[in-house]
Amino acid sequence: MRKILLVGNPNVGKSAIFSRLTGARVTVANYPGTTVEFTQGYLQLKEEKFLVVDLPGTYTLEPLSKAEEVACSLLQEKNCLIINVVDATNLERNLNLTLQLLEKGLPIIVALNMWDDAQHRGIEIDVKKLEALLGVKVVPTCGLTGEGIKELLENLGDLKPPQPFHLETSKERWEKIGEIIKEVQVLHHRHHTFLEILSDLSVHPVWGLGAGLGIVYLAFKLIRFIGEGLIEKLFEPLFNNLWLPLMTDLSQFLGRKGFIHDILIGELIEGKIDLGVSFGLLTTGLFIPIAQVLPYIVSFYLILGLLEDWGYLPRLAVLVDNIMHRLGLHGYAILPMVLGLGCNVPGALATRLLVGRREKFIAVTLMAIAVPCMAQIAMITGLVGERGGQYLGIVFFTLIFLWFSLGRILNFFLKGESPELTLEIPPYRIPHPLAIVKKLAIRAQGFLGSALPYVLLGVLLVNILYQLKIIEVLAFLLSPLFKNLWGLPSETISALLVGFLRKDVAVGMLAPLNLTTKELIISSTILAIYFPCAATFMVIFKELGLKDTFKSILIMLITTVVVGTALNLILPPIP
Amino acid sequence: MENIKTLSQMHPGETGVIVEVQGGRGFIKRLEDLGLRKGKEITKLSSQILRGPQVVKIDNIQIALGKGVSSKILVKLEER
Repeated sequence: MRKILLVGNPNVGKSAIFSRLTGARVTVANYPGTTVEFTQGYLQLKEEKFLVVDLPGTYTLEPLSKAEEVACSLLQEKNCLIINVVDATNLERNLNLTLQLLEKGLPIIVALNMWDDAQHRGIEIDVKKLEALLGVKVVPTCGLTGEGIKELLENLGDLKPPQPFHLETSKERWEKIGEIIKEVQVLHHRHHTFLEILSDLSVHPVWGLGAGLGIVYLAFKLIRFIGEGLIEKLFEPLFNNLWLPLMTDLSQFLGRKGFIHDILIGELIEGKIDLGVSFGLLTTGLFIPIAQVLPYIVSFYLILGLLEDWGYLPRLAVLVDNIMHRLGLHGYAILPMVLGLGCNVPGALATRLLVGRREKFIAVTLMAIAVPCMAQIAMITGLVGERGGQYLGIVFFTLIFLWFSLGRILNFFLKGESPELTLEIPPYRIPHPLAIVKKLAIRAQGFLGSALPYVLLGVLLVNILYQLKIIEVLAFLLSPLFKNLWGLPSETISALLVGFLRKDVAVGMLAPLNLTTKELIISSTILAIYFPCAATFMVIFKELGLKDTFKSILIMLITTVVVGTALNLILPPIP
Repeated sequence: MENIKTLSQMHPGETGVIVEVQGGRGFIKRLEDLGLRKGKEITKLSSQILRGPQVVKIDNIQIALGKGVSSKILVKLEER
């Protein structure tokens, strides 16, 4: 099967064109580095079936970061067609990569993307002349609306390798590009748009910082508001009124006790099923991921999607660059942290945007320890928030404090220095409602698809461990650590065990233990920092390698012991 | 020669032409790939406090650069 590779600079809309070509559902956003791994899909064109590959963006064929490396390694393969996606609003810079591709003599078609945007900006490009100068077909496209995709497809089948360009040095290449631009592009003067004024303001040292704080605060407020609203108004009533009666009947049918009953329904609390506490596969196993976590996932990714497509995240990176430098990172390392708040897996993957091994290590370690995922946040908010907002504050303040102070410590002890920020800032764009909804659906579905099996497995594991009395044995062995250092009853060990699989279920397991508020604060904080969940661990291992993963884990465990003990000593008894 | 400044010395709103990028080959190339190279017109948009990053505009591209990077870029300011 022949391959079609989508190649282009970061943030030119490769993924949008990819999903148009293949119908595959991929995440598209307005910041450089949305795609860090290649995604594949299929395209049927007349008789021939193609494998389409969406590559991470790259400025050059000489890669610097891991994400760029992924892109360049695939270009070595024979027998592939290339769609070079070019941002029409930045023709000159984008042509640098185009010429490099042409020098290789690969069969290329150029998609002149964001064509509509270029016209709004008063950029006029003579497509026919550009075709003649490059010697390849050029098609104006708009990935988001689908304009030009048909023409792209019509020209794909019989693509032939062009006359290769012979340019020896990058100086020659830029001269050539200069000539081409002079021939094909005319710029019309026009006034600053409202979005551009807004854009300038958001990196202003005073207004930008103020606005940044406001936006982040508002984002979290909205996430909580929408999340809680969905739980209270929609998901809990659905479960209580429709699912609970069904489960009560099933419990009756199974005889209200016994092995099967306990696995499926769980333990009856005062003769009744408690969806949050009973811990059966069909009760708590479904209630936690769907009724308690999914609403927050939906709410978080809705707000994140808006911020992403609007183009705010790179601006945030500029504003926090100073702070991040103190942690041995640069501003764009905020991106893995923000994504990590949704789920640590994409967060860890996004550290590919960072160049050095040192910064990757710091970023991954800080994220794994101090950035809880939304599933966990939802559960902690529910459980600890019930006791009072100030207690919730203690948990999150501890995590933020840890994030910062641990970063400072790592920066101090690890050799090397923090690299400087060089980041392209995309223009603000008005988010497209349909694109937002589509992205939200992909992510919510991704959550259910990947989380549900783990959650059910986790609940099953708890039941089995209890039945086999393994938890009792472990609790007995580890109780000195738990009791003396952290002031926790040894039953909390069960939550920590399950936390290796899923953090949300683990937090949920604290609910039936009748903990005091102080114990609840300490145990949920420990659960957040002690170890990443299984899925995150796999990615961390893949990204950092054996040695660095081991080091990172060691830091997590030490931090856990220290922080748990410190909280136990500092906090007064809270019933 | 008096109106040549480093990018970090420029004030927000000032425009000029890049006359030199000081640094190793890899460094120069990295900036070139981003669209920042000798001969291009560059406008400084803003500068964050406490030696924070600078945001510049070249053609239609906005780039954020660390203070260290921007002190290695020499710009000849536009005549007023």
